[in-house]
Amino acid sequence: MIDTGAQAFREEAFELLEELESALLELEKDPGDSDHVAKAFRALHTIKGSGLMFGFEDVGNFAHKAESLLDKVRSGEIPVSEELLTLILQSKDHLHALILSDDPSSLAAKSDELGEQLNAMGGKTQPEASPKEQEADGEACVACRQADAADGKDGASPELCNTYWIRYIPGPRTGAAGEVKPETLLDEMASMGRLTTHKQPPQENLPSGRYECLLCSQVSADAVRDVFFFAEGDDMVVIHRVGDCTLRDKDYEALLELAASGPVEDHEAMSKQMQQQVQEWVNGRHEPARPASDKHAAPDDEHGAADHPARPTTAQAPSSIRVDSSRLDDLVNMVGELVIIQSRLTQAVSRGGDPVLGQIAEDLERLTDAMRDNALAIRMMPIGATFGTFRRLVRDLSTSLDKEVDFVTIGEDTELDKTVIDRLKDPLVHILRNSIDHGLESPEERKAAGKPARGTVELAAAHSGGEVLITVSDDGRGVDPAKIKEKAVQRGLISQDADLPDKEIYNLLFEPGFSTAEKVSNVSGRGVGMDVVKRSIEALRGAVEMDSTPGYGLRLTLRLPLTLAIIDGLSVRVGEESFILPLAHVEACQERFLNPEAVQELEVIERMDRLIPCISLRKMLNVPGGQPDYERIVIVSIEGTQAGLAVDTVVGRQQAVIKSLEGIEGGADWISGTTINGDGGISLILDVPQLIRYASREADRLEVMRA
Amino acid sequence: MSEQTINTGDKHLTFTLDGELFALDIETVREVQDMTTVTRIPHAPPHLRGVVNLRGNAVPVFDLRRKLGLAPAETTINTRIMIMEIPVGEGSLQIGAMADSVKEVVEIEPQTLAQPPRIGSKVPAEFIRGVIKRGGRFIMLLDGQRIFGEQDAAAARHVGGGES
Repeated sequence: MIDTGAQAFREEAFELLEELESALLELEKDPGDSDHVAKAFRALHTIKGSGLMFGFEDVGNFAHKAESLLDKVRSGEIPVSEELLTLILQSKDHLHALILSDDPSSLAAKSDELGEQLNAMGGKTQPEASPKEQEADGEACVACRQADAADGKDGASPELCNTYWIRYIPGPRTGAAGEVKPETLLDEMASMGRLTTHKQPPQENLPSGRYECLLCSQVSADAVRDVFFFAEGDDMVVIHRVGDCTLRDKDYEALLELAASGPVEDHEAMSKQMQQQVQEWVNGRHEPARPASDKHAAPDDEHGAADHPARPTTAQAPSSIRVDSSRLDDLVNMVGELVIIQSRLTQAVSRGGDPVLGQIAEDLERLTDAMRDNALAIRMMPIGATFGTFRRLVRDLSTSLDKEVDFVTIGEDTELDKTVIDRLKDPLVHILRNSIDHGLESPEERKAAGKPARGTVELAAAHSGGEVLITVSDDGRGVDPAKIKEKAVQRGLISQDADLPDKEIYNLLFEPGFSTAEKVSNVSGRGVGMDVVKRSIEALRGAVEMDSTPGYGLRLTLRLPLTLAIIDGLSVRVGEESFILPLAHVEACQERFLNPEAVQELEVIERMDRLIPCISLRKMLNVPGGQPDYERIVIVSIEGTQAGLAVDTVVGRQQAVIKSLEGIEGGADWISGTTINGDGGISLILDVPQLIRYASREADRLEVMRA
Repeated sequence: MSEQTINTGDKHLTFTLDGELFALDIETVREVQDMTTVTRIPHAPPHLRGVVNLRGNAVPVFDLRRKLGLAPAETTINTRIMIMEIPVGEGSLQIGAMADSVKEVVEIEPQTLAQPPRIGSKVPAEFIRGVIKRGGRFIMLLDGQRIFGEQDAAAARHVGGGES
């Protein structure tokens, strides 16, 4: 119970930290934007509140310090500066570490260090209030004076605190395991200023008792209300401002007694009564020296903000729910099984020929299709969610490398399977690092080359057919094919006289241990890099391509499948074996008669007056069995490049639930996964993009040889 | 690494390959399946027969004869697939190993094991944990993790792309 609470807090906090970070980075772009300050503040505030509630005290206390600093920014006391943002970003990282850590006490030193920096930046010399300080009669209270001293106003024009009356009646569930404890809330209020509490023991109609509190603090009524943000729906919370802070200790007690004596229901009248009482005391003691404070004393009720119990949680009906992603995986798996069973049924019915059953099978097929699309759609996430982290990365890198970088993102709302997005993060981090470290020149070099001092790195995502294209491009120095070739010859990867097209030369960069960087920095250039990127992208059934204009930049294109779960496929047969071609790549089918003796692995066929390469799957995949003299050719294409795949027969459309091929060493060339057929057998899903690229490459080479 | 599996139980599953009797720790064997249709993987090494459908999952099946360097043979009505669980990193990998026939479950106490013969054995000594004589026949106790472990762990990383 407690653990699930803590887990929920962690998940929520990580999201809030992301929000905080993106708000801070936005703020960097536009320091005057108060919306972003407010957003950052809110995120920190919620982390603090829920952190304290779930027992993450280190988190709560540290967040409080950062929050206080941001509060000053919010009120305009401190301007937004580079150092301030850096410090808060560091604090964000530290909070992340604190939340993740099993032993937060080990991070205490860092907490103190950063906390001090935060306090120093906020201009606070004394972080803790010293409550024993003598309270001057009828003067501004300790909290006021301290805050004023901190602002350097030296008590000249003290801004008075407000005294709030808070009536809190916890519902029956409050205080149970995992729920909010009233004490937590009181503690949080106490951290805002001076709190006097009167607790009534539980009574028959009030099982959890009732709390009458007076809080003397500089914060606004809304801030007090925020404390009860997490209060349960059946809690009753009433907050009224009853005066400023020129009250004495015994006044507080009298007021609390007055409050406690009143009926539970009628808090409006009680609030009025208390305000009157306060006015009487104040007037009796000394003439109102500050007319302004009288105006302040006007009840908040004027704008109707304080006259209803604080229940912000119920104000907005939730439009989304949070679900453990493993449950979604289970759902998709089950839909996968359903798809398989449905195709078995369809197969069985087509043999039996009962029209009623046929109708049912058809209806089921329609439903299953819709269900599959829906289940997969649930897992789709806009890729923009990860762009935030990259923005931070670019910022940090450009600072540490002394380079000026404009980071442009395009297509944030392009949707991709969650698993793909998660696994895409590391490769993209790597690529961006490379771009900024090696790709972009220093401002001086750029100026000398006639380019603007600020470099640009662009991260773009877009849909293209059944794939998603992610491109990372920079306007840096690019890579020189001649240089790569020289290096590759040196390492014996290619021979001196190899005549390779540029595209293939760039491919060499993805070989293990290949790095053209002349110097190794702590950021990149160790030669473990692009091959890892390539491997992880290929593990996602994707591909990487590089393109560059020396002196003008470099572009990396990642192609990824939309989903890793279920695809629409075309089932084909070669000999006794059946294969699945992803339908997204299939363009057409044609046929050929041929001499079985003369078949080559790769031939050229005619397609709409053009010659395209054609692969004999039988030869290529070493399928046993005799070569027939009549073949079907499935025309597949990717990005306009066409190729033909010769097969024995085309069986038809099939939904393929992709099962990864784990535990297969080598031999998985041209295979991107497996799927279970309706009859319980297994078909291999062919990696069509790879096949097409191979075919067009080989065809080019044959042409070169012939020429 | 093999210490752990020895003391989890002395029960072992015996099976035959090329006329010889072998045994595997029962803890590593999940179940035994009849021979079914194996889908060939193009360009795969010869000891990898292909994949089978095990309740909706594609499980790779290895020809244990070839894997151990014994002469290959046709499958018969007695051929069985032993589904094994091989620890890989933090998770585990299911694989199938083909045996000519599966016999019985026997108790083998580790201290009664004799050193495998250095020479004269058809099977590489590194795959054998020990030899024991039962009912006039020698049983060779195989080390399942040695046979499939490291190699397939590497392969899984390569192919599965760190799926966990």
